[in-house]
Amino acid sequence: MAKVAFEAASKVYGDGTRALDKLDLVIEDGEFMVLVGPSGCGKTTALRMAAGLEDITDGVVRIGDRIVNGLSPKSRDIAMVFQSYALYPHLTVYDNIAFALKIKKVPKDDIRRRVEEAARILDLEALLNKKPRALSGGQRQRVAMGRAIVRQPQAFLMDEPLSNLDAKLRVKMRADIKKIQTSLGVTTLYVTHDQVEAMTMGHRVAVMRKGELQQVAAPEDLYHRPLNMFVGGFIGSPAMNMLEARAERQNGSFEIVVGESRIVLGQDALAAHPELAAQENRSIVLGIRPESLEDAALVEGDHPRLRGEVELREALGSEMLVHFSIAARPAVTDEVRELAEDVGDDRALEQLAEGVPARADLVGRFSPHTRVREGDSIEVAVDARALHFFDHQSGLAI
Amino acid sequence: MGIRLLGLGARTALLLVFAIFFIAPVLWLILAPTKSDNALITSSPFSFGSFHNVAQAWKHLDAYSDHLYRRWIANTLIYSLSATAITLAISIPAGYGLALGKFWGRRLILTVTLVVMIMPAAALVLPIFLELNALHLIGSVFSVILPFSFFPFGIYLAYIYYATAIPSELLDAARVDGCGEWLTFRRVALPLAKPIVALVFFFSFVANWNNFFLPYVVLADSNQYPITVGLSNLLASTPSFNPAVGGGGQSVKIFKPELALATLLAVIPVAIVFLVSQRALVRGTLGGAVKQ
Repeated sequence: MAKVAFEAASKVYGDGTRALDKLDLVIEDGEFMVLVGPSGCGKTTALRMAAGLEDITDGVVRIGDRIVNGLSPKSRDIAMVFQSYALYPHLTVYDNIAFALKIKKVPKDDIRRRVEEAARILDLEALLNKKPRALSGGQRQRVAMGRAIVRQPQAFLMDEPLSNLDAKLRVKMRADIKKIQTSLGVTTLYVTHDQVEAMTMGHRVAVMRKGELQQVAAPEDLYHRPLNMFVGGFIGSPAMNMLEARAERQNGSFEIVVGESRIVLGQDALAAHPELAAQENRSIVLGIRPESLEDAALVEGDHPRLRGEVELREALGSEMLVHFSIAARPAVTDEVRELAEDVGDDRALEQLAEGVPARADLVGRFSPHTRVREGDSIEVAVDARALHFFDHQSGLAI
Repeated sequence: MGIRLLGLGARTALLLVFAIFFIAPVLWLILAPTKSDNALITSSPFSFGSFHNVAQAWKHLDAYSDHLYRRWIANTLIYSLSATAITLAISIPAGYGLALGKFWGRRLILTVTLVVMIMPAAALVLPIFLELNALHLIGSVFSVILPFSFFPFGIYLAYIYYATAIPSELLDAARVDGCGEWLTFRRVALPLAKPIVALVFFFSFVANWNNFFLPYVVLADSNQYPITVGLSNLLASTPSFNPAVGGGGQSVKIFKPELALATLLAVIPVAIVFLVSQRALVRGTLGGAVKQ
């Protein structure tokens, strides 16, 4: 087991595409690091550079104390789990798992012991004599895991290993992989585009965009303290609502003006965002997580409110997702466009192409007891302590 | 209803006519060795003679020039299997390299391979003859084996297979699992190419077995002939086919039934190779379609 480090590692392809730009990232010994980002952000490139399957154009990649830039994959002592599982179709499950050990000429008895141990951990004992084509997707995935853990390598590299599984199985395998990683304590670099996987699995999560690292932090930090609009918008589902706003001081209190509404910030909110004071009378971006919005009829006490019209409700049982529009302008930046493209939100993209619309669509995560219906005018309470503010130009958090 | 029946009848009749047209000569050939030379002309074309006649025909054929026929079959087996073995050893790795390798000149080599593939073999006989002559190989077994060890169609088949049917992640997995380039090929790429090995083996073997023009040009001694050249030699020296030789075939005891038997026996090795490789051939056609 070892530390894996990228030091200003860059990848430029022959056609000049810069897939990875000076990545600095250290995965500590035994750490579970998730690389997450939209497609084309360079996360898989980074993983393949660590594996030795992709040349390193510039910078250094270390595994343990060794600089591995010039080493072929076989000399790096890493195990990889591929998106397609890449099981050897001509070999049985046993031989698939034993493959790397046989290549390394490990004694036969040792191989048997280690393969059986891996099979026990992954519940593959009954399948050892089967060929991959006879297995289900979930079983194949487990064989791919078995092939990795039997190696006892310096590090695991996983390239979207769960993306070919159906939703239910994915939830189970997510937990299984996490458990195995914890019990083996092998340094793991895990690539995914699924922010739920990122949040639930990683000790730390690295968010990437267009070949550049945006933020590395523990999942909770990433969620509650995103460094910029991109991270704020990418992490969390439904995504953070982003609105054009203005910071103003009125009658001694600090207010955020959103369209026709005013949100008064208390001392604690101001204390959490000390630089906000300097933004007085300037245009900023206000980010509101869906769970910071609630049907005002269900909230006691004095909360700032937004007035809107309900367009759609999605009852999830434990909660109600309510889509509503308010008289305010949505924040439109490159990040917002890119996020809409990433989730394939064509409607949002069309709207963005027509210019900034006069009304903003928001999503609120309401209590299931809410009585709102499509077409209703509603008042929505805002949790003023949990707001996010971003600089309009740089996109950085304030 | 009547019209439909009429249509069906017409279709069946048409198919029957074609079937008979193509099957008749084959049937005649198969039945020919069962008859005596005389009966072949006088009796009904599709009548069965006797197995005794077959044995007799084989006796005459085998006696021809001191078991020369056996020698021809053995020669052909040696030439075909040697050339096919070299072909396999070259074309599978070559196709693999062309499909998955990244090196300068890859496209050029691929294009040249395709151009040579569509070039008729006969067109190359003269330059190859000159080359063999310069190397003093004329008349040796190498003059037949070496030119046919290069089988661009086999390289092309292997190239297509590796470029389309083998996911590159599989080879990446082998590399990460500790294989160098040779072991990646030997342990993963080659075992997965079984269908294509069978396919190239079959095509190459058949092409070599039927190869006529080059051995005809470069081999002088009839003891070295492959079966194709031998058969043509047999035909030419047999009075029943070539009256100019004279003697009515009595001297060599080779008549039409013997010739028919000689041709039929020459097909058997190809049929065996086909049956052996057929299993893999069928799998080969499905190999890319099945999700691995």
